[in-house]
Amino acid sequence: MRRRWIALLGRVGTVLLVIGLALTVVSLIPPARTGFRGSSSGTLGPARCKITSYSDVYSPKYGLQLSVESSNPIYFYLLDVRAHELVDWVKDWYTEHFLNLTELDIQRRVYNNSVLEAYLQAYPESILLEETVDGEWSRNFFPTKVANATLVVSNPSLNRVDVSIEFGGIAALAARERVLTPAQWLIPLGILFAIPWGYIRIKKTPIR
Amino acid sequence: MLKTGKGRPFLEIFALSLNEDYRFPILEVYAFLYTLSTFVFARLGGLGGLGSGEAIAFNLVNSLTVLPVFILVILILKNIAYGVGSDLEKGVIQTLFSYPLKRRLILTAKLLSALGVALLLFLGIQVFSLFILAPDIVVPYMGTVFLTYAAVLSYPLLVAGLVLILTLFLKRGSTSLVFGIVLYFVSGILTSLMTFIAHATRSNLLLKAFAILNPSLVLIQHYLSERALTLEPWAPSFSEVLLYIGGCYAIVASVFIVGYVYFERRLGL
Repeated sequence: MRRRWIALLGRVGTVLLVIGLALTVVSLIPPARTGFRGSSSGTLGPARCKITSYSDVYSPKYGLQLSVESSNPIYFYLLDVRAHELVDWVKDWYTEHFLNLTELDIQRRVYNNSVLEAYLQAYPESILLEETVDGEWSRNFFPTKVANATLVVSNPSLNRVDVSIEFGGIAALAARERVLTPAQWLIPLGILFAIPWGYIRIKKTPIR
Repeated sequence: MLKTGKGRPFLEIFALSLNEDYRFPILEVYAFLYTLSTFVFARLGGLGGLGSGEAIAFNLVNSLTVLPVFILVILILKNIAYGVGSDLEKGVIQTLFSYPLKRRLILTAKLLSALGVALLLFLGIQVFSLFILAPDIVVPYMGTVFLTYAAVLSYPLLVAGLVLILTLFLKRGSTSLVFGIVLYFVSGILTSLMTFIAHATRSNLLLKAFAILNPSLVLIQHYLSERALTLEPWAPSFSEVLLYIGGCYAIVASVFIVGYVYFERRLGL
């Protein structure tokens, strides 16, 4: 009876091990460049933000290759909202809070950090990625759901900052880090479970 | 609940069946294929766009149903046709009958291994892989995910039931295995044919009748109707979807009951 339990545990172990190996195989397949590629560069004034006009639908299999360069620390956001919807929300916010502002005044204030912060406070769930960038930074990003991603950078300081952003679509079987973590747990756990069963199996095999 | 006295022989037969159905490395090969195929075949678009979160979850699961489900069907049919079939052919079943256990429990132990473990492996690995791939799509719509699996797996289970009856009737597995695979492919051909007829004749009657056997068709129509892409005038409601799935499982259950009755009373052994 004890041998049966060892066999059961061993087979569970080998299954966990192969699941871990399959996840490792998935993580080893590199992402392919696909879809739109774009770039944006310029100088960001003090306490100002920049909302890139390009946004697209991204998913756990279709992500973004991001590369950001800045001369001073900036905040980089990837928001689950279309760019024009974000700008419309900002304009509505000004209209609601400052009744005497003209259309031109609002247009001038659209890219103020304060209103971006108001948006982030109102919709914290829209933040797909938040990063402080100082110098060079790059990353492949895959959201965990289907999302309309818009790139936003904000300059929190009172100095001017030179910012350059490059972005493009990438397709992969899955985000590498998302599959590697469970694989790192499953493989040792599987080996641990399978050792006693493997030992008995080897011992039982007749030597020719 | 099993009585204490019957538990041991039941587990004995279950363990024997497991050992026979999943010889090393069958289980491992299938686990590897299920994991890999989930990531390879998962699609997040399709059916004319993305739609609601629920429709996205449905599309994601539905995209995994072609090859991975076929791999599952092969495993189940192999287990039933060869597992039960070879026991009947070689006379092993006579030994099993000597256990102090009712015949229906012997068949239950064999089916638990052939079907239950295969389904558990398939669903466990796929849901786990989907959770890794797209947690924010899968977790909020767990009901949709399992409903899609229920709809998709109903036809393979029906085929498994028919293969069981044929195996018991012929007392051998090879013919029933071929029959099962053919029957599984016939469903694909019939689905395309019925859809074509529905388009050509502007009548969904045949498609609706066929959907009782393959309710994933109703689920597809339900989510297509969300995006106004369905065949007019069939836009099945959610309760209609549940009715079709329930109907199909009632047929599946009756097929298995016939199998049990045959095994208990008419096997001629």
